[in-house]
Amino acid sequence: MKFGKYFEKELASSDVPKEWAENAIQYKALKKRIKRFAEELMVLGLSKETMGILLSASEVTNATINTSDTKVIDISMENDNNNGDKGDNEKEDEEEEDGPVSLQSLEEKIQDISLEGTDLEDKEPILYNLKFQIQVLEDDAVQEQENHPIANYLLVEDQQYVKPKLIVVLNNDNDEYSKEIRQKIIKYIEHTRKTDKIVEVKEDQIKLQNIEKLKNLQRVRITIDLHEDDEFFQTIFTELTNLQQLKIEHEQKMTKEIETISDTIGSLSSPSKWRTDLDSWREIFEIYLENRIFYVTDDIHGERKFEDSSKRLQQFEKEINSTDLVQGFKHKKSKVAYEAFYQLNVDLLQAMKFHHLNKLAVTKILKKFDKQTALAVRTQIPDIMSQKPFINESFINTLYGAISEKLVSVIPQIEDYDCPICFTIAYRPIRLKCSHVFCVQCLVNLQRQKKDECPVCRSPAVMEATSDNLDIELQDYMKTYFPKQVKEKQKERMKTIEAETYYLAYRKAKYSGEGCCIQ
Amino acid sequence: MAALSKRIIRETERLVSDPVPGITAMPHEDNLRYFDVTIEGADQSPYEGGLFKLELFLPEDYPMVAPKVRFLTKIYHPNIDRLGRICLDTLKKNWTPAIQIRTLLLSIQSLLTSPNPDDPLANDVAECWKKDEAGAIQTAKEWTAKYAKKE
Repeated sequence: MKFGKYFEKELASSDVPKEWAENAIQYKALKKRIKRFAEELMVLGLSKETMGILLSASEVTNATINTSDTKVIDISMENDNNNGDKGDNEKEDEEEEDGPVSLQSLEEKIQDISLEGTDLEDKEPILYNLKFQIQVLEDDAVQEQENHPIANYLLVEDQQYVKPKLIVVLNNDNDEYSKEIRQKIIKYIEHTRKTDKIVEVKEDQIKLQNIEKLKNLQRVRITIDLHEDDEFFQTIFTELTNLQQLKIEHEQKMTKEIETISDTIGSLSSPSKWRTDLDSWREIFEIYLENRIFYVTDDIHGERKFEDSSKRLQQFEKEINSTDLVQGFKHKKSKVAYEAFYQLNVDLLQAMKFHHLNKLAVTKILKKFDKQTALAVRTQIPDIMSQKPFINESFINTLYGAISEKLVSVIPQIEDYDCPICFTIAYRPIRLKCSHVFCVQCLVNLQRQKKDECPVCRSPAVMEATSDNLDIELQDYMKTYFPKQVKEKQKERMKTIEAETYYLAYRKAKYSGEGCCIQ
Repeated sequence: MAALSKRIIRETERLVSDPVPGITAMPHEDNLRYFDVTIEGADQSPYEGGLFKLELFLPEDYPMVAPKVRFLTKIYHPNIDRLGRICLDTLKKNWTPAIQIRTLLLSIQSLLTSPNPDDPLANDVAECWKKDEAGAIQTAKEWTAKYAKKE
């Protein structure tokens, strides 16, 4: 399936909200723009192939400034010598180039004419909006010519948009490309002028002189403001700005949603209430965390990442449905909150997909652009364009982090209160002076073996611990939030003590010779 | 045999569901305290490309005492002897009950990357290692290719 169709289909699918789809990248429209731009270039004799040659020639020239082993350079050198004298005689060539010209100063120094065409007759409906600045290159500019590329495509940053410009340096008629392009441009300008009734006479004269020059065997530099291309960028930048706005709204909405839900769940699962959904929520979040729905791994990106998360969310839902956790809520509000929580995940997933699609559309359209015009726009467009407007992985990480932290921390997780030795709740909690906490049973075991080093940090702290090291605050907290686990642990502890007492009694009986103590 | 503690159950679950890269550990069905372990030789080490089999046993007092671990695959290493016994401080005097099977196996994996010939178990290997490190590394490579080939 072609991407354009795929993109449309995905946007039209039921899980993309309408108002999002309206803000999506207008892939087809942009594609048309590219076509028009390619036509625009064609009018100037700059077919894709020609562009490719001119641009690559400029690369060669740039790369081999000091070597004259390429034909391109040779030709331009000859031209300079041949044309220098003639150039000196020209009246209006007053300004002089001094050395290589930076692009900013270039514009200032240009003895320019601006030609702004309007639409022509209907039979030629296209592309008469180009602006030209024509500069005659002089003898003195030899240095600069040496370094200057044959054609250069520039994106000049202009507030939030970029202004695309094409700078072409044309040699004399010996150069077949220059010849063709020169003729096309002259034809274009003359044609425009014929139909252009707005331009004043005085300006017109200047234009005429320059046109004459253009016809002569001279080196000229023509800066072209590309109209269709400009439209293309304005469109795409506007769309990206809209998307960015949408993204900010998404992020804000979801962040707020998390807060609301976590507040609700917090109040519903407060252990101080007589009826509490604490245990159910805890189990739900345990399942949620286990499924690691938006967990970002390094090797999964884009589409696959989305599909992966989608599958995990389904798995989560399946697991929840296989329990009666949601049905068993004691508060009706809990059920509502669960639905909101689930929906939040669906929303995040959707936003992920939507932004991914748009990002893909931008990448594809720029690729298309390069393919049809030979202009390597993708290397010029800054990264911001492909990053900023989209929900990216860092946002998903942040939001997922917020879900895990905000929602899940409302419900304390048992793992955080486990004893690092026996992996059950660290009740009764003994806090060593190095601040590490163990359950009393494991600590007693350590002391019996005379192991003084803290198992976690190795500082000598075990032997000196006494009942004063009991963390009463933590003990109360555990009793409140993990009543079930605390009860189990107490039971187990009792069993151990009984066993030990019995064992001691048995040993005592055995060694004191009193005989069997079991009745 | 004492019943399996919650700790062992939890550790085993995690070793299987979320394994350490380059390391596998599977308990025997008939004895859940006995594990078949494999460790991949780290890249850029003489053991690169090798897959080493080990056995790991959790004594009754685990985690108060360290697991018993032994290489089953022959390996040329100054801290591992002919019987596969490993000289590693965390297995002996530096064991603490907060160390888990996975962290222990990670230590063994890194022992392969950084042999310590000054605290040898296999004296002859350690001697070679100190006298002619390049030669020892070559031998270790050869042994890896010969005995620890991945199937």
